[in-house]
Amino acid sequence: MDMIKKEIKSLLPLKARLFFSYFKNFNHNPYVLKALQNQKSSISDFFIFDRDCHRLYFLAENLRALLLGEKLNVKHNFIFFSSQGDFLEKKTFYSDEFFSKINLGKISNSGKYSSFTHFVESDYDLKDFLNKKQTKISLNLYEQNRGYTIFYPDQESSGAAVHGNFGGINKDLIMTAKSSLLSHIYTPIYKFNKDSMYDLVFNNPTSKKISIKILLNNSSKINNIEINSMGTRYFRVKNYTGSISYESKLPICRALIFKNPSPNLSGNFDVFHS
Amino acid sequence: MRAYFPLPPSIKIEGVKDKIIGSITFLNCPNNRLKPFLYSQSYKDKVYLGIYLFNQQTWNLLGIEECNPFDFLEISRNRFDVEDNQMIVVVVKKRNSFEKVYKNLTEPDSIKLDNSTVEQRVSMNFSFVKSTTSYQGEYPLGMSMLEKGSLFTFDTLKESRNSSVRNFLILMNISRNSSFLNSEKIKIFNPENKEKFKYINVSRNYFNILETKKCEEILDSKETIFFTSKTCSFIPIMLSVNLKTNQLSVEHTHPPTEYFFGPQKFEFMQILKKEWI
Repeated sequence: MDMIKKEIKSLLPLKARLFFSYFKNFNHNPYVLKALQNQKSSISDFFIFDRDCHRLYFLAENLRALLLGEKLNVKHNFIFFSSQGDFLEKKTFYSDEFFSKINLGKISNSGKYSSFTHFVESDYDLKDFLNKKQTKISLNLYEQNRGYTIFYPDQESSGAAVHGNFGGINKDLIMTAKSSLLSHIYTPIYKFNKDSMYDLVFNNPTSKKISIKILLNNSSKINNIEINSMGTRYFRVKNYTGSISYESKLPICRALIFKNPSPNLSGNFDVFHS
Repeated sequence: MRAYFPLPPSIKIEGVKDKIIGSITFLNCPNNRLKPFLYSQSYKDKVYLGIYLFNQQTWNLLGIEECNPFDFLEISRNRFDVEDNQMIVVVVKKRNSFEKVYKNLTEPDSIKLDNSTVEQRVSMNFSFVKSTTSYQGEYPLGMSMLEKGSLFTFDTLKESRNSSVRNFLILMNISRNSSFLNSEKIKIFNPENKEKFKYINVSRNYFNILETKKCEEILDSKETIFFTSKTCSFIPIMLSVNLKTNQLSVEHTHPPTEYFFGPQKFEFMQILKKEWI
């Protein structure tokens, strides 16, 4: 039966396959259908910025240099949004390295946590690259800007690194992430401990306002937060041991967890994706 | 997608009394699911965790743990009298049906209830003195079945400006079929001078722990180092420990498949592999 299914699938054009697969998983698909059918752009994860860190670095990949196998000048553009989702500022850094560690500096009016995107620009287009390589591949894919954020909670401390996780924000700031019809419950496999304090930081890469219920599973207390499009909100967890779930209409709702948040001199700071 | 849960290694740091200790935290609950409504399925499965050690070319049962729905289970490397970087794998099953020895490690069950995205994971923890760092991790079953794979990673996440910090790149491999025992080599080089490379011997079914400082000494370069293999896949994890503050940081690096999204990503991957691997 599986063989027959595979055979039928292989006879269908790519767009039809995408269409059927999309509707099969309609409630779980994190991106809009249009985005899956028209993949000729660059998308970025939606990264978190922490105002109270002593410094914050971004480890950026230079995909063009990696594909070419040699150093190549590119512009790393960062666009920052306030906790309310408003545009704050754009910063540009130049580098020809394969991987660059960039100090993002301070951002004004950002709130404790805010968010940013990262896009690479270059005179050297991926189309030029394909021509140079003389390949027959047509450019039908998204270039993903993922990267890593490194948070330094204090001057003396070392950095805690976390990779880009989810966003799907187009370089023209068109949002490809969507909310679903039915709610999901996401439970990080992590035991929160009353001896530590945690900030659960959520951002909203969709075009609509979203609400998230935070369920402390060992307590009857339910907390609600609402986040504007491109906005960032956080929920502080103190004196609690056990698991925590998030209920929302995001098919993937994974907070970034700051353990013993900055400023922190005590060496017990950590950041990870839930 | 089903997955194994490797128990992170412990690490002895040269010249330091305390060790970094690996552990996992398991929670018996699907990590992502649709909100239950009307007659939809509620989660009530008890599960069993078989803990296996890879030793002398077979997978050997170290113990079985039972876990009720929504309960946590913590498993520390300290519990077992094993070498720090031997591969220990936790296999989740809905029935207590584990054999004592496998040549081909038994497949895990899935505890997912629907098609929600995000794979089932555990918290993979590293502790040093009173600090702990974690990430949500797993080792996909499909990846453990590969006889041949590849690796492309780098060490730029290392903390190189702070002399109190030690950085370790952990290359983790699980090959469920124990007959895949070829000895493996990792090529290391500075990407700006890729003709000048060296090889490091590594193993399958093992946590290969490379201190980045030692790799720098081998290449006589303090810059970013690339690590590649054209025969075997590994999950690369970068771990840093600050010996002054005891602060730890752990993160895995993205595989190159994450650089692209769309039906042609594998063609672009091939170009990348051809260039570097």
